[in-house]
Amino acid sequence: MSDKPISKLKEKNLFSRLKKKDKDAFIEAYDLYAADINRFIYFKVGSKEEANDLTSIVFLKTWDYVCNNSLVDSRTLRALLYKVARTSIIDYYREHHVVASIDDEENKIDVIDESQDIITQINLNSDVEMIKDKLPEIKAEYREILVMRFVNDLTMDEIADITGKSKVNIRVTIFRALKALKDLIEEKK
Amino acid sequence: MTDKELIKKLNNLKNFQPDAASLKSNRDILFAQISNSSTTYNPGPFETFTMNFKNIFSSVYQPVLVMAGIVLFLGGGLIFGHDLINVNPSNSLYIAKVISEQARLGLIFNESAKEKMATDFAASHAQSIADALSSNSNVNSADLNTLSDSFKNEVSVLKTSAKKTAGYVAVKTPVSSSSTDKGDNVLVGIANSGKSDSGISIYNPAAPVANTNVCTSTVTDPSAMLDEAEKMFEAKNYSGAASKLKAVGDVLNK
Repeated sequence: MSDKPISKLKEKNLFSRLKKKDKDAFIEAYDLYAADINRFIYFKVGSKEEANDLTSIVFLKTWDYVCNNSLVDSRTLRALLYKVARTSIIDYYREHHVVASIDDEENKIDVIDESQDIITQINLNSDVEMIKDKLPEIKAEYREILVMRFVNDLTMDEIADITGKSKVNIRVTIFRALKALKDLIEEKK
Repeated sequence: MTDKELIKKLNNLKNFQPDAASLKSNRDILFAQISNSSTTYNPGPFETFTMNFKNIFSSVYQPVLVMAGIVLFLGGGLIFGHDLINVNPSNSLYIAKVISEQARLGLIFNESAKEKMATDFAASHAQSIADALSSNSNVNSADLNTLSDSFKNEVSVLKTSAKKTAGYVAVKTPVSSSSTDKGDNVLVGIANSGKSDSGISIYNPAAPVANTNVCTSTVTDPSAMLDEAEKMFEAKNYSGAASKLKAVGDVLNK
């Protein structure tokens, strides 16, 4: 937690350099955010391969955007990346007419990393199972916001910027999303 | 299940790590793709400093920034104010001295202490103006007018302060007597509490009043003294005005 202001400053500096079309800054941004963006996409599309491909597309599109725009309308680099990720996913679904998501039985979520210890793996597995079962049942809007807020640790401001909604609206949506997910889990019990 | 537990479970999904190898290969491809379309930006030291400063400034929560500014202003006034004590009004740093004094006044919440300090400052201003005019012969007419105006302002501030703090003022003054009363003291009391102006009493139990041929009841009314100082100032008797103001300061402090 103590390095939060430093990372915030680092991100701002990175964004300032990116405004000057600095490719090194962009590669640093990739190192910093690729995993988060990949995770975000993965929880939307439910497939590792598609998530990897889409992550690559997102960064390429972002670079194009950086080169052709002044970036005055974007508040943070992270928000910009998530915005591009959202539109890229929508485009991807449109192009491929895919309706696949986490709820697809064929798209099994397999997120266990071999490097993690067994207890973590079991916990993670059970949590992922719970998410797998229940997340698809809540609204896509709720799912997206829950992932952004609690999995990828985005701030309310950033989520509001990405989704184009007000902070109050985001707060209310998070509250409703948590309630919906909780109701579904308790319903099963 | 509580909200906290649910959030904890959602947080556990952070442990999901994407395939590092594929991210690495994507990185290489991306680097190759963007290399042709851009150059490396190397900011100079000044540019780096400006960028860092701007970003730090924008990262800090604005009310915190305002508070820090106020603390810096007041703290600076307190710390560096003492070095400005001997700055005379013709010096460009005089305004800094005045600001420092305002800062010190702003930090005092006791009304009477604040009043006393304001009086001290006003007296010292008036005196330093008079000193500057009496000592510096190279003052041009424009500066002279400015300083004269400042002097009048300070005297009017002092008068206001004197009216506020006016009360019962008692001072002991030596009496020069021709006969047996030599060496005795006479207590001169001035009642000026605003209720009545006729409260002057002279008490000397050792001798009848009629026998004392001179009673030097020194004027101790600050307003009257200030008037005198003002008259002296107008008559260009700057040193006289300065000493009179010093006396006013002493009276007000008592």
